[in-house]
Amino acid sequence: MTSSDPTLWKQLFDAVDAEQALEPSEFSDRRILAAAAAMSQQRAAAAAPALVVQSRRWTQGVRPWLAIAATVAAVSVVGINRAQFGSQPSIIAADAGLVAPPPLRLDFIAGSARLSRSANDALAALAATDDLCAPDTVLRVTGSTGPLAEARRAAIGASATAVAGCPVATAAQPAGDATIDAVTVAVRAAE
Amino acid sequence: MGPENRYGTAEYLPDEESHLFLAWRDGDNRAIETLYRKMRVALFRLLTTMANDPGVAEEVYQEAWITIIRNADRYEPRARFRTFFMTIARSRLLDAQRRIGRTVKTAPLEEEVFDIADVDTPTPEMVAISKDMVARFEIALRALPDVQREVFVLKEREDYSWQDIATIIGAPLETARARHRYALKKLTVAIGVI
Repeated sequence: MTSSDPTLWKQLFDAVDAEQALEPSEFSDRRILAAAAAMSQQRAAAAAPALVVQSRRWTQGVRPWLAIAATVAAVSVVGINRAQFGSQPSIIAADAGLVAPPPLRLDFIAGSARLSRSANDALAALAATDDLCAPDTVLRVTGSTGPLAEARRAAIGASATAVAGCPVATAAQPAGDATIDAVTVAVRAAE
Repeated sequence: MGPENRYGTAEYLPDEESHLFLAWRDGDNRAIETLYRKMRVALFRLLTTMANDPGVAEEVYQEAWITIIRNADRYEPRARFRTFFMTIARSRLLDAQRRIGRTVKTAPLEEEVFDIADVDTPTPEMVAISKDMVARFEIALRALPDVQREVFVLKEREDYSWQDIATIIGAPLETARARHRYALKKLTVAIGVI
């Protein structure tokens, strides 16, 4: 075997691979496939027929829609459009579940775009769980430090509790964890 | 590569991975999982070797996939899916290395500017792969400048075409070839094979 033998390098790489047996972590697999599933849902939701409802107070307005959301298989958030309704917190719940099979489309408009989108994802995931009031349901919140961010985190937690109709624990993730978004989906500690 | 188009260049015919990605984008939700399961180990190992740091590789691996998923609408099958993936992953890798303050190891200037002759014609002497050789190879591979290691890995391990490698690293074909030759020479010396 010589250096110009193409099998030499392949065999060496194979030997190193066999020794290290590297694979992506389960966390990576789950995160990537979840992102793909969420994107699939977004596309399906964007294509779904819509019934639009607007509410001035989102915590009140979202509650009946969450009840609907809990009955369908998929919930996804398709975007935020503050310009359309000004700065007043508003909700558009676009429901395909009433008149057509899922997915349900749920839009939520409020606050800063990034946090609202993340909060909306989290709320949508909460709505999709079988038991919103399970004691191990946790809304994980991350973000920058500072009074404003703290206040927003608290507001998101309170809102989650309000829409779920029961206490929802809010766990703040350490900031700077690059593998977790600013506000991530609700998860169950038991899983 | 397929037949020439009106620009006189070869038109790319989508490979199986590209078909799967396009199928998912068109509504086949299972296609992305099939694609992911098919490619996860190979892409991860390739990225780990290029990154020279398993932690960074894991982070970049996730970011690259999620970027591709979220920007699926922009994907055009002009190259193999894995080339598309590695182009994005390499960009994320450079970002990550800058973020953590690691300097990308480049080759000495003279290696980049001047070409070298091919490695000496090997003798037909046969050399068996030993554990010691694997160990020396691993150490020498890690010690290569990043820009040489990535080209060597893409070519010798994954069999990417020179055109694909040039696309991924964003450099001319000749630069890719020169880096490969330098890597080959160093590794050949390191493992003691001529």
